[in-house]
Amino acid sequence: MIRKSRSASTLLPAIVTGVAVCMGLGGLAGVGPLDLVETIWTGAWGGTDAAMNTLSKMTPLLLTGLSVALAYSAGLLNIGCEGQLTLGALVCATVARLAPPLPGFLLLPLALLSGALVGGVFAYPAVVLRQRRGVHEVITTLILNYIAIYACSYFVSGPLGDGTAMGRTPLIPEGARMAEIVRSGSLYLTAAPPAALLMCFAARFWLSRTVWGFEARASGSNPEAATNAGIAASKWQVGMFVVSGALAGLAGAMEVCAVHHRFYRSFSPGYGFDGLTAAFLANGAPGWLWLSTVFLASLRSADKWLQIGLNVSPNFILVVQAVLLFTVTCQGGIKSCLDRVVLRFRGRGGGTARAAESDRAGAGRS
Amino acid sequence: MSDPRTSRERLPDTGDRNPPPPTLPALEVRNISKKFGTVDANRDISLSVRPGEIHAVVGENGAGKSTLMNMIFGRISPDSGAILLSGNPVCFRSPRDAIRAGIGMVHQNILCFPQLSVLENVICGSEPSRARLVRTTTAREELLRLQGLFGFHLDPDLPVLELPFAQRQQIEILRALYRRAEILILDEPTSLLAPGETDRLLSLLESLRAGGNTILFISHRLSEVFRIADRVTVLRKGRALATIETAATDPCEIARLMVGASRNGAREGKGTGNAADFRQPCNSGEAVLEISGLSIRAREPDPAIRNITISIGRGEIFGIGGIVGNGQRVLAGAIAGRIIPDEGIIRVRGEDVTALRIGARIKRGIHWLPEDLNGEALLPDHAVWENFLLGLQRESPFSRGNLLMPEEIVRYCSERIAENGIEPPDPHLRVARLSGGNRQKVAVGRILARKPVLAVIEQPSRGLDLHASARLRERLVSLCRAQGTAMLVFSYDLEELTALCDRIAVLYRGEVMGTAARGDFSCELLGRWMAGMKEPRGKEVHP
Amino acid sequence: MFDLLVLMLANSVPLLFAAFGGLLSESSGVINFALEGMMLSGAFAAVLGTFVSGSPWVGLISGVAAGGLAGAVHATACLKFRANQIVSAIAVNLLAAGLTGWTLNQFFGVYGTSPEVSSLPRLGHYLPQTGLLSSLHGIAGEISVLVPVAICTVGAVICFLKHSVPGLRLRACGENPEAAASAGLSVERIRFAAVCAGGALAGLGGVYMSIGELAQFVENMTHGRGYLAIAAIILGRWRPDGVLLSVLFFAFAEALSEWLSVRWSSVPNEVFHALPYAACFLILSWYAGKHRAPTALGRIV
Repeated sequence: MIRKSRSASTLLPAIVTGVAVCMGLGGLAGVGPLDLVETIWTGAWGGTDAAMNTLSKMTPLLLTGLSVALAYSAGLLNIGCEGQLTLGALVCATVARLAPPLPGFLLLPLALLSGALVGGVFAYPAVVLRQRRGVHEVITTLILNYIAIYACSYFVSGPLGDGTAMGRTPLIPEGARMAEIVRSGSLYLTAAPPAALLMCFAARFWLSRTVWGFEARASGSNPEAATNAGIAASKWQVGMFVVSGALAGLAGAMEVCAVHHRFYRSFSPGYGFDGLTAAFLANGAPGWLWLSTVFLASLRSADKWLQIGLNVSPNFILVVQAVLLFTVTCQGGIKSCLDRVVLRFRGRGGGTARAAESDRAGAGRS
Repeated sequence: MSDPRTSRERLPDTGDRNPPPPTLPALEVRNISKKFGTVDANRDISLSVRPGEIHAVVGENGAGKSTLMNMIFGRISPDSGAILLSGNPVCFRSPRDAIRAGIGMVHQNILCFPQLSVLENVICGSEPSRARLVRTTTAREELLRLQGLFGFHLDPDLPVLELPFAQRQQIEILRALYRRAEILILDEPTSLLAPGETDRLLSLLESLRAGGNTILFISHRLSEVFRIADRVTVLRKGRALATIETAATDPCEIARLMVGASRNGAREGKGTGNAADFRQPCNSGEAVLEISGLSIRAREPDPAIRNITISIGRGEIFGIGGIVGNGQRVLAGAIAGRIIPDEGIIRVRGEDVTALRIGARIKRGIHWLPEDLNGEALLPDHAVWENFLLGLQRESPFSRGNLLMPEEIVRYCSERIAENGIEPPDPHLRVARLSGGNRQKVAVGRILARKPVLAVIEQPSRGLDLHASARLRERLVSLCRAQGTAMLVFSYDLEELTALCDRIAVLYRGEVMGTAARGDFSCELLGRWMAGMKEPRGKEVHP
Repeated sequence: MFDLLVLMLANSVPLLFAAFGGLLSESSGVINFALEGMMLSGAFAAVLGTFVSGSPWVGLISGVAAGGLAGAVHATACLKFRANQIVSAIAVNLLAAGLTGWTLNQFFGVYGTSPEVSSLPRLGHYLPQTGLLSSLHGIAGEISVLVPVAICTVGAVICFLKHSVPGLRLRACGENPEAAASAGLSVERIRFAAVCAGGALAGLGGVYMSIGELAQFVENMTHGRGYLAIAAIILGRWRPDGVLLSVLFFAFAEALSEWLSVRWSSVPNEVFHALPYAACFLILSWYAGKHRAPTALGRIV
């Protein structure tokens, strides 16, 4: 029943263009396109260990991606995932360690929830400032990132650290760690990635099929109109932004409970910003986050193989991400460019140009 | 540009309707066509404007007037056909080319730079400069000279956003004159002006003509056209039907040409017939909406309203007129619950709703259609069905528990599409892809389908053509009469109000100037109120 | 106290370049969240140019060009392809981070830090060794030659926006592109030029960081200065004088925290690092000015 406003017909050409540009860039560095794909593939999915590594990298990307996508569906941009994630991780690690002895089935949820809670609380001032003062949430969340990261860095090397100069907290108790479901050698996988995936699909269903999801989307798409239809649009925006922050906090907490079992300085290798990329590569649709996340996680876990196998700096994956982000956000323009080229080949040039012009004239009139 | 000048000296003689002097037309449009998508906006239009005349272009909404003017001004390019200035073919790729060729345009939706000063607004694009620096003193002198010439009194250093609407239009006129435009295009310049201001504008145009300017005047108000224009060209459905000397015709003939003979019959039969049929007086006695002593302080950018007292009965249609920005939007927002008033009481069916928010008022059957559809009423990026669902999403057939019921929603939406004649009839289409008129139908249809107790409707027929707006008026009247809906209609168009309403009040600077019942109101009376005059030729009221 | 002022002046230079570059772009109506990437490209290209040619002046020019190029990428995405301006800017920042790191490795064969190159001369280089002015050598001599350039640039941009013909047209595009087109301006071209020029200025800020203050490139060396510059623009409410004040304020907060961190070594470093950001956040939440953003900021007609 619900048709996507932007269908695959505009997204696909954009992604193909992006991949082609990346291949071209790789060619500049003297790497053949097939070598590139092969290295990334084997690095990320060649063998159980690599695959497990990649899968476990998907968790924070899925959650921060979902965080950005949910905020975006309510018309807001959350650049603050990085800070929310870091804070969530620190608080989770601390709560898990300092909480009174509890059975595992209580301690783990408590730790995860505390991480989510602090992420949500930390997102709150940004959206309030947006609504009360008109300060764009992009700038406030960005500033809050720095504050959060410096604060965590202070706490972990001071009062909450383990007393060493390593800048890390002590390990969390066994009861607060997520159970392994698959193990291979020293590597193991917990329920975190499937749980994150499940949350993405739940969010998709919630947004498109429930009353609340409809109200949230309406509030994001046109807050004035939603308010005038009796929907508490500003409350929905606040709520969605807090949930967005909570998801980012949860991403940090999951990392602690499932992978690292402690917090350390420079905890996030840029998961927050990767979340932005993941969300926008998926066109802001939670239902497609799995795909963009698989892609990004593959790049991330293959970066050292680029260096070892092809002697390309790991920074190359940033370039790939940036190029794809460009092509996806330019998808409308790319589509009409391609259409124009195709038309010119068929000798019927000008049709799209005229359509584009009529669009513009329409916009001018409204 | 030398031709028009020489012809100008001979022009005063043409007043006695002699055959025109054999000069080249100042502006000629030959067989011009323009398509938007599948819609023919202009089909094979030819038009010739003599130097030094006021040439009116009239037609219904959507007849293609604005498209034609935008092509002459280079804002859009024609698909085929040619434009000639003094006999020389020209090809304008942008307004810049048109401006260089001596064309100036005053746009319907006033185009200005809100945070720049009046002076900057006027000179932008043709600044006097030395070494790329603006010569402010020179510009200011020239601006003051022009203002003195036409009796404008704008402070050159004031940011434009602090000016009232009518004065923003003066900026556009000054901008064209500042560039010494030979040919002036005015696209519906009077639609936002009070009658007094309109008078002043028309006299200004006459003095410009006396000064030798050629003027293209677009309007659908025939009284104005016949007052100043030398010739008039009628457009209908994208075609130019005829160009006629105003002296050789009368408003009735032009009106017939504008709407087409067959529809004209329908219009007269229904438009005026309706008025007679439906206008049983509405003294049912039961007041649905009672507003007493309503005051709201001015909050940037909204003006204040003061001490407003209105009572509307069951089944009554009450109109609020006035020039843009005299507090209509604030009043509508206060009744709908968007703005909580500082003083006064609003009662609906005896219940005090003053402190209720929009959601609570909607539950009591108070529905509001705001003026700015895309900004305040619709979700342009969402499908038509989502727009019809908006506000109903918690009602029983459309959702169960927290789950939406797609089949029910789409069925309901398809009914509404058929009922309102929305084209194309696809519930999954994004609203942004509908035309302005169809968007209006979505927004109005959504409200009328809910059988409101009180409907607050701003600009009901914006974007609708004559036929559709006549149909809508019938629907509104029958809804009110049949179901006892009390309706408050806000419009800037006096003709619309007089055709629709039982009573009309006029707001001026946030106060009610007066209320007149059907039979008592005339355009002349309402026009005086709109200009802030209570007594005929009386002093302006300064509240 | 005097060293605090000198520190503040030195800190303000990259912010001044970036903020006034961003102001150009935002006044024309294009959101410029990409200052960070523009600065980073400028910083790297300056080192690269200096390394290749041996002359820091060539480095300066290539840094400015790289910043302008980053601006051109952002402008193309926003204006030609109608991209979401913030997403496009995020992509520019990502691209700059990736490309500089990648090229650093490709070209110099190292990770993280480039080899040292010669830096731009300091003012002392031009001061006479004898005479009245020689007494200035102590402190002023250590000031980079880009500091007076920055001061002149600020004056030039303010004058440009307020009094020049292209400046007026640029602001017109940011106020109402439709009206600007109707006044005969080619909006897209003006905006494109504004974003590119803004990028070039931000690139100059990067140049100052890499071969003005230091003599090498460090990965991600701009370290959020670009974002701070945007905060300064917002805090200054898009008015040139306001932006200047906010930049000076940030620079002062930074200088103060550096200054204090030396004196109060018992207080953890992070407190001082976070100080400018915390101050910025507090001011953003308390201060509400009369002036607004350019009316059409972020809107493409």
